[in-house]
Amino acid sequence: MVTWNIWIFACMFFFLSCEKEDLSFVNGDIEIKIETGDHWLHNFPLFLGLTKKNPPQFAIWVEDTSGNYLSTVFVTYKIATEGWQANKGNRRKESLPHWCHQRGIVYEDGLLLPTKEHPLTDGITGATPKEDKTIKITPINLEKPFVIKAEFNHSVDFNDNYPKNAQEGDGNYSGGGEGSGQPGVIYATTVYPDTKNAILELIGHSSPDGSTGDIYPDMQKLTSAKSIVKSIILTIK
Amino acid sequence: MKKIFIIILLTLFLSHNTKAQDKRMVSMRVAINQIELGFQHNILSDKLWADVYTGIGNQDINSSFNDFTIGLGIGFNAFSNKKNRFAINSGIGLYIPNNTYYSVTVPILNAGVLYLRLFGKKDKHCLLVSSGYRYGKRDYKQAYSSDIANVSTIGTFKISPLYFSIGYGFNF
Repeated sequence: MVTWNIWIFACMFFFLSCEKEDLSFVNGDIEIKIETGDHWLHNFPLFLGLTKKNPPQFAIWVEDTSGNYLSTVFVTYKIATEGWQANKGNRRKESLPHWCHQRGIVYEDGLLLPTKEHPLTDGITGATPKEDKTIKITPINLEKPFVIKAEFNHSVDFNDNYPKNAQEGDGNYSGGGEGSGQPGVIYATTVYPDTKNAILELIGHSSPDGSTGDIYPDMQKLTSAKSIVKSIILTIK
Repeated sequence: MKKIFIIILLTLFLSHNTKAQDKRMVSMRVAINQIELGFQHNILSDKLWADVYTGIGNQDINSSFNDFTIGLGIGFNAFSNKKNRFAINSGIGLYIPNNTYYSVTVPILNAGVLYLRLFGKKDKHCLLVSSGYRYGKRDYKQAYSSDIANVSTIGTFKISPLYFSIGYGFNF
């Protein structure tokens, strides 16, 4: 009987202790809600035909209306810390090149990506969510208008236009067999003093091989990359 | 979660009104994302046992084997002969990820099956194969402050639901 009581009590304790955290907003706070799209999870090949469902790497950051980088808001762990697994030293500069170039911080090897030794320190580094994500921004000295941008990219997300066998130097080269495939997609919106709600629009894709920080508005060659994200909604509370 | 509760209740029901012999085992089990050291002791009967374990895992953001886990459980030998035992077991525990990005303690419920093959002199040694389901999920908050804004978000840490481990046990 004692055993019964102990186990039932313990199970109740653990069940009730699984509390959910909530973000609380006050007037002036900015809520950014990312809704995952049909291709948020992408099959990443492991071995012997086995695959693993991987979410994308992404970064959200703030710029002024002149295109000057102000601050990173959130960035996923692998790119923030060079935390790639089995990358064999490949720095993956094709992963989020627009964010890297806008940030403009050059590391020891001349690349614009954080390293294991010098991971990102400006912004939240977080695990990539497998579901919708909400971020709260409380502006301090952030003058409007400003721009919120987000860039998303999958690994080995090949299609006919960005194939695995594209060679370095080709216009559609994206890092080789373990590269990006389809390039990163970039979303943006401008927040004005009277903005209450806004949707971050898909404005283009980034450099396929990561060699520049340019935005390429022609997205005809992208397929599944355009549905990594369903929507990114910004709300001023 | 519901299935785990049913297995826990079933294990308790099967243990009702039984009598124990004095049998103990220390073990080490290895899974793809966890390594555990355990101590198992018969209770109430030679078919029912309780165990405690502690170990390390790599299920958090940095995939380093430096997370901490601890737990206790009960099991019931459903089928056994001279050299083989097949048990069902269930338990509770804690999983504590270890990284510099977030802090969370995750309660775990688990239920599964354990196969034990005895070998060696006086059946002192055994090979362990266990498989089952674990539930552990908890939200955590992350925050960052800069000159222009304070940022916060909620993340969710979730234990890998399926586990499979092999191990070695020593009976004494």
